[in-house]
Amino acid sequence: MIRGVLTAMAALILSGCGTGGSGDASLAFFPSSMSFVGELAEKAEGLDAPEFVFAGSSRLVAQLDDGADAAVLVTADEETMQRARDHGLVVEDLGIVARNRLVLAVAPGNPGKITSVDDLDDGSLLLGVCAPEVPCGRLAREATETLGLAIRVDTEEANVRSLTVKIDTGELHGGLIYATDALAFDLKTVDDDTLAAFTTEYPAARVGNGDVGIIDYLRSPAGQAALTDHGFERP
Amino acid sequence: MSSIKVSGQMQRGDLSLQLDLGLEVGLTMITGANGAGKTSLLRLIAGFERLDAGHLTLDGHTVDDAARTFVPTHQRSIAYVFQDHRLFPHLSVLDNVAFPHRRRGVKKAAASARAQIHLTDVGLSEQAAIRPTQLSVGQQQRVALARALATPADILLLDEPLAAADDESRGALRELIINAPHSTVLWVTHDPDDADRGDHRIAVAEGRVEQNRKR
Amino acid sequence: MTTPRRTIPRPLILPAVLAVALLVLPVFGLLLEAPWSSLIERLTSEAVLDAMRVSLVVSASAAALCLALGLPLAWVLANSERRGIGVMRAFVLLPMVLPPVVGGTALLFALGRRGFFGEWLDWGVGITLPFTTAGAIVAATFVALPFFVTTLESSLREQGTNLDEAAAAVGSSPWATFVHVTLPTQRGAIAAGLALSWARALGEFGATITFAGSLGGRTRTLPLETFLALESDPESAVAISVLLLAVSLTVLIALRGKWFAR
Repeated sequence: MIRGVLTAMAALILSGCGTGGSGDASLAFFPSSMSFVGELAEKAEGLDAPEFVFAGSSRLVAQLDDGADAAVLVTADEETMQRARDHGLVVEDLGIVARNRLVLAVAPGNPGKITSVDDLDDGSLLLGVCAPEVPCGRLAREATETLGLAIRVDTEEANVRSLTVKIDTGELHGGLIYATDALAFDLKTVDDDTLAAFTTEYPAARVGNGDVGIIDYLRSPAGQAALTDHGFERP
Repeated sequence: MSSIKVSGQMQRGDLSLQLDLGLEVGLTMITGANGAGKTSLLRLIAGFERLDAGHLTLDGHTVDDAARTFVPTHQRSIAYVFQDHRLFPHLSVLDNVAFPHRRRGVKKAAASARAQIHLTDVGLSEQAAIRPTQLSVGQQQRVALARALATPADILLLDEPLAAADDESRGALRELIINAPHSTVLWVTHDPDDADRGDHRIAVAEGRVEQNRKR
Repeated sequence: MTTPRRTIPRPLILPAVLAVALLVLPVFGLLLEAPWSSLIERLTSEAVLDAMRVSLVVSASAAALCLALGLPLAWVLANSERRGIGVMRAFVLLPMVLPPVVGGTALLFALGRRGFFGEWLDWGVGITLPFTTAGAIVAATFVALPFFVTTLESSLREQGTNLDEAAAAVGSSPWATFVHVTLPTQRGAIAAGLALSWARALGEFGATITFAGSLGGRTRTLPLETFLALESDPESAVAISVLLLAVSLTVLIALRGKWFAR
């Protein structure tokens, strides 16, 4: 009986090994904010949909560093793509596929009565931004520094989605997030004009062998329409 | 006047204790085979066990009526010597004996002085500063006896207090117990020499008490 | 005369070796990757020092709360024979088996500004917990409390009621017995429980970031700092990980088996 158990365990372990690089579909690394692209690609006509991996941009670069076999990489800001270039991961730059605007979103009903970015200095409000280590946080910092704003935040979240959720549930009165997240959660935004200049770019690159048709698709009218539907801006 | 009156029953596992007795002041020896219920009777009087039916009266006060009335152990006027002595391992021998006084608000110096006297009575004054774990079993039992003798109470309950005593000290310790200040003393023993010395004697067999001879 | 060493049954050897490998290899990996030359410099950066301070305050406060709340609870669980005790114990163990993020979410919906009790807290007493150091302490206490309670409860059960009876038998009230007999004799278990709950509080991440958020100098603990460092500066993340690893190992070595109830 012992022998049977050990054989079964060995078979299980070995069958789990070597899944990296299996399959014919090429691998596409995309940032989490573009997770809708997966379903989009499946439905797109004339497109050989790749297998998608969605994660935070720096996590994607780290995986590529570790030898992941992806064909396409899209990052949530230029800085992360530059890191990929510095690590010698980029074979060919494929250009920007979209932009995302920084917005000041408020909790449903705007209980904090936030009307402009100047309210970010209000200590009595509960406000949040992303941590400066992540793209959304870098953009927020760029905005506040360029505009010369003093801000008093109560949290610097590790990812924009958890920040958005906290605004949506009312735990925070408001915060600086992406337009796409505000749209996804149906949150109202204020003072769009002041922040309109602050956008992050989503650069794409070829990082290995495989099909990069997904990038062509995203740049096509159909792809661009889908992106703007979700709140992205054109490149 | 009866100092302890108990009438009722108590079920503990296989043992069914049926009681209807009165115990008077003075020294009562309690004998009986192992498992007959001697310890259970003692524990009942002390308040470690409750009656299932009936009532228990100490000095005219009902302390247990198997219903809403139950006086907890620390509010009964009792002192107890356990068969497994149960000294406090984190206290010195002296502090163990002083414990009853300290809990009654006696200041440390006075309590220690009184404890020293009790320790001398059991012949262990030299061992005052050491921890109980460093004593022999027989010595630990003597400290437990000293601690009980130091406890001001009406009733002294002893469960085989001299089982581990060596022959030379047994006689002296026996005298100590016989001359204890507590008005009522109940002494559970196996030793026939001990059993002969009490004012009263009861035997317990299979949960029933044969109340018998006064001397 | 010595006891001969017992022979290990053959089939057990391989799995045991694999188990050790699984547990030890990540630690080795960490130590190999560590930026030893710049370690001190990284660990004394302002962000890391801030995180250290927050971690210290949060974990120490959580440990103290575990003692203040957990000791009475452990005593009740150990000494109670009532029917509902099993249910109560299941609730006590819950944070141990719950994913920390779930715990944090639950705390948010209970004690958050718009939470069930949180609304009352805010409106009635003016206390808000989310995004405050106090909130981080609550989150850490939530996950660490079961560790303290189980350590103490098993130790109290093992000690049994013998000494309690002995104390009562010489006239000591239940409270006096607790103070003068139970506490001194449980010193070892209390220390072990404190060390364990402190270590757990120190490493707490999921519940903290969900409930208390993350702000440098206020709620950004060492684990949160590590997580964020992974995004932009993985070497610093490894450095902090090495620090936390050293702390955890120290605690475990200091406990040296006292944790495991006999």
